[in-house]
Amino acid sequence: MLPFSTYEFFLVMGAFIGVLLLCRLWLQDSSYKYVLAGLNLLFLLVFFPQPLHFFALIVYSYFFVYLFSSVLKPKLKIWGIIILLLPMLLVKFDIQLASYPFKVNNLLSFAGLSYASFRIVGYYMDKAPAEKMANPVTYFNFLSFTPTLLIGPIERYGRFQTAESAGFSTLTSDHFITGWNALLKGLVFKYICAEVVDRYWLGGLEGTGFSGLSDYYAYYFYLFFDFAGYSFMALGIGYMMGMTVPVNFTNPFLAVNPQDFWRRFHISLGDWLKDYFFTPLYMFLTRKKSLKKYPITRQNTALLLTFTLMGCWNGFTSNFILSGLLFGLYSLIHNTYVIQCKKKNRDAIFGNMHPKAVRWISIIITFHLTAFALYVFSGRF
Amino acid sequence: MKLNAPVRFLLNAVLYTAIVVVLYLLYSPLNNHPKNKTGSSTQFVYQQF
Repeated sequence: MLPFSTYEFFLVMGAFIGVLLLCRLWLQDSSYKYVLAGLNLLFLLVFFPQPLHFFALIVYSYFFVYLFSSVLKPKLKIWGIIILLLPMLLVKFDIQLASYPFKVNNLLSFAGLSYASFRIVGYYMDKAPAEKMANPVTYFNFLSFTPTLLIGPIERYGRFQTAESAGFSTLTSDHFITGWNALLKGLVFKYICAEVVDRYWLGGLEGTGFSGLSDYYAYYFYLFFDFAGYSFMALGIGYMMGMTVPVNFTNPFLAVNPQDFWRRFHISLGDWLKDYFFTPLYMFLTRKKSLKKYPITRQNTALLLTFTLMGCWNGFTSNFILSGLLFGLYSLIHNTYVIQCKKKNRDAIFGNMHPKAVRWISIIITFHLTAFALYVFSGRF
Repeated sequence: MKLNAPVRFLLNAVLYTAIVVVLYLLYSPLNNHPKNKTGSSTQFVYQQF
């Protein structure tokens, strides 16, 4: 049973919350992480389809993070990142080793591998060489926390550790009500809104060929309700279990530009890419002598590569890569526009138009452009 | 706007009832939409993976 795949999952989560509330009565805050680890372990062993694959990744990543960050300490972190991402890359490339009778995919692949890999790389990048290795129990909880196991949001180790160290003290009625409201919102998004859009709008268009804008809108709404639904349910259950899970979606339909869109849609992925790919890449390009005189080129190259990587992360197929390139192109154009506005000290396109009108026009343009890029992502054409 | 407790209770009751009714209409075996794969009423929240 995968998280959120059947109604039994919610019963299991209810039981887990009950266990945590009972433990709160008798145990000290310092025991919280052990109880949480016990529950996560129980879920993996009893319900998760490939627990051994998951345990293998945890041991593999812990060993290599230790090796690269505390022993080898290479000047460039890229080698450590490649090793840590290797299982995911082998699965994404679907590599067939001639000496094996089966695909690497069957050996390494499990649901949630990508999200776990992102969290691992985040931890490795954040960890200073002099810093002590993570507590193995906290590290295990960080990667296997049941509500966020499958589909994020992409947690950061520091934030997770802080929330975990608060112990049972966060199992309060306020936390519970916040969690319950988020869970309810997620449930309505995923099991009602996404399902209605899929059955009666998107499904109705299947087999009719391209039906214009309606197709774009339907897929955009479906993807949002489905994904945001998952994220809100994960957030809700996480809160009810005493943890704070980051918000992953805040009204993406109201985004005024591509940059704003990624601050509202799958926020944890946008932040991850900005912190661990865009910024280091931009810094690297800044150090290049040949690019010293071209700050716009540096920014735009970093933007385009970041979004292409985002596309590739979903899979090495043309629709994902093209969708990433499109988002990169949007950001590149927007970035150039912002720089032009700063240079001219006025809006390069809208001139003296009323700010409210500019805002609404921007929302409509961004909505349609992102709907188109997500439609390409869907591979439905 | 801060609602008083009875009004909040009533609104919550309406909201929860509406959610349950819509879920039932969508996932009940009586719904014969091809994408409704619910085999029995106990498989209430069904999701394809």
